[in-house]
Amino acid sequence: MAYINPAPGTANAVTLTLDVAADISDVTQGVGALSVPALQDITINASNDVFTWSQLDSTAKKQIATTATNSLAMNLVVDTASFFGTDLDAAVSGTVAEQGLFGLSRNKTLVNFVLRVENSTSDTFIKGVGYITGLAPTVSADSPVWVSPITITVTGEYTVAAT
Amino acid sequence: MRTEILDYLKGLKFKNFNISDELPFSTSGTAMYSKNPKRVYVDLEQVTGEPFIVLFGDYNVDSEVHSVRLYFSTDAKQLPSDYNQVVSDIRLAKSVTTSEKFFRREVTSSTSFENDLMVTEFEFRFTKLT
Repeated sequence: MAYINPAPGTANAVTLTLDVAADISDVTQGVGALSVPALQDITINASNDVFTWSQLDSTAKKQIATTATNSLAMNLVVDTASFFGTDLDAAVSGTVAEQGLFGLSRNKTLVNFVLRVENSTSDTFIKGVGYITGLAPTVSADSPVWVSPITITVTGEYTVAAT
Repeated sequence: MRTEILDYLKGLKFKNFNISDELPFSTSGTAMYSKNPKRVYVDLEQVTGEPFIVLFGDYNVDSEVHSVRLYFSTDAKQLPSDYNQVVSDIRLAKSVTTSEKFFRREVTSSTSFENDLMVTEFEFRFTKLT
């Protein structure tokens, strides 16, 4: 048994990169992919719906998994460039860096993501395509740093790969 | 921070209390504020840091607490008439204007007794992000 123990403050412990996707099957990222900085936490949600029925010949319900709802949920410290983008007016045709996370959400841009789960022996890469949603930047007087939740709602399946 | 607090205190011009530029060091085991009652001594600034928001990646958001202690002593049997006002005014030093952005400012004051003297101690804590 080997647990995965990313160390906060360590480069590449957990990395998430985003790029504009051409279509829902495009999980290939270019050199201009945006590495999302300052992640506080991240959760991979893979929730299967289940169809349930009863049969007269059984005292227990029968179930079968149907379709999954997949999403990545995380919290991050707002970094000006990556959050608002390098071009505040960037449209959906702009690069991922130009749009930034806020622009990707506003423009409803289809993005692909690669979540790298660093391990001591070999890394695992979780890939997919989806949309940025759930932004809610907040700041308070006793915690004067802008932080925001962010969700990538995934369209289709996750792809798990070794590279 | 010590300089700003000293400047603020000197501007108050207390009737019965003086402000010292000296540090509250001890000679022969006796602190300066015990040797010289009704004289306010401001200690050097102490700095402690700790993670404020822990992040994945190369950096964290850290907080830094700058603390400054003040001391003065008075006769324990007969408090100066303006003692309460002096304590109240000194506590207001937490709102002193600073060149740095401190998002949390705290002050605590306490008293203790040394023979026939009452020692009043203040601790100011200014917290900023780094």
